[in-house]
Amino acid sequence: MEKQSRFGLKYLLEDEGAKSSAAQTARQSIDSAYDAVAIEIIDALGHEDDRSATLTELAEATGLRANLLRSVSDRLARGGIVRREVDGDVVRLTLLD
Amino acid sequence: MADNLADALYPGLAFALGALVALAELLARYTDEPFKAVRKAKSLGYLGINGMASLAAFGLLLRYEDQVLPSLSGDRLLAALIAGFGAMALIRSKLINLPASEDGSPSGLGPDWLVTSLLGVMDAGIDRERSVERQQLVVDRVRQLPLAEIDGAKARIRDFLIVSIASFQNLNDAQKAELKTVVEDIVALEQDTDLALMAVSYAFLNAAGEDKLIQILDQVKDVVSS
Repeated sequence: MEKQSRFGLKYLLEDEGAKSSAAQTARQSIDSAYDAVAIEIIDALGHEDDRSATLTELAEATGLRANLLRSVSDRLARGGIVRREVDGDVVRLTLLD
Repeated sequence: MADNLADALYPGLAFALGALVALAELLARYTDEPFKAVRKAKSLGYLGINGMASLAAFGLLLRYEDQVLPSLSGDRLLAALIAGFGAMALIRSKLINLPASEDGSPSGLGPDWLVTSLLGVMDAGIDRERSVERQQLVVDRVRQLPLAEIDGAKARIRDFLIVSIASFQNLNDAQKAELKTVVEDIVALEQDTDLALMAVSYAFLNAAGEDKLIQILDQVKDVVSS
């Protein structure tokens, strides 16, 4: 702190700290949003007999838009939570054990 | 008779103060909806455990007064105050020392471990319940927005959200400035409109609580349709 003050960097660093804190909050908020949609997807798939549905079916079941579901399902597939099969324009998700 | 009554009240005072400290902890931790958080059954458990820790500290203070705090001189009111406000500090000050493990490291068991573990379990439970409530609120409220129309009004909505921060009475200027940056960062980072709106909703929820979020999202509908 003493060095920061001596070189007049204290306020600059504090300002950078505030920006960094805001960026972290923004990132956490986006992660929370992804998690919220992911829970909706997993919940909807869990209600299907074969634990599987297309994005269109999921959009109807959840009331969320297919584009949003597509973005989040990419993450879920990368995380090994769902299997993602693409057949032309149709994307089918299957909940993995 | 009066002395007997006072003697009976001191343990109760220690318990109540311990519970009060726990209440303050929970209110400070769940800032979005503190009173919703403390009304949960697990919150009562959290308060009860802290109260019991204070009660135990009160008993230990009196029992081992000479070793722990000789200046107490049998003052039960002082013992109740110290135990009530400082139970965790007392417990963590190795009031009870358990033998260390063979390699000399702390055994990991003891009153500190026990109380901290129980409080951790209760806190995790409260956090999970609040998390589910928050998730449902955000998704439900964003789902109700005219999302197709919002795609064409992204800039207008972003500007409205930033302007609306001025009405957050519980935030100081620095917090408002940070929230503005958060909104700008979210809009810049997240291309999907629905996700960006949900992310901003979480940020607003953390900053100002559920009622304010509901009010702002209702106003977003008006902004889109105007």
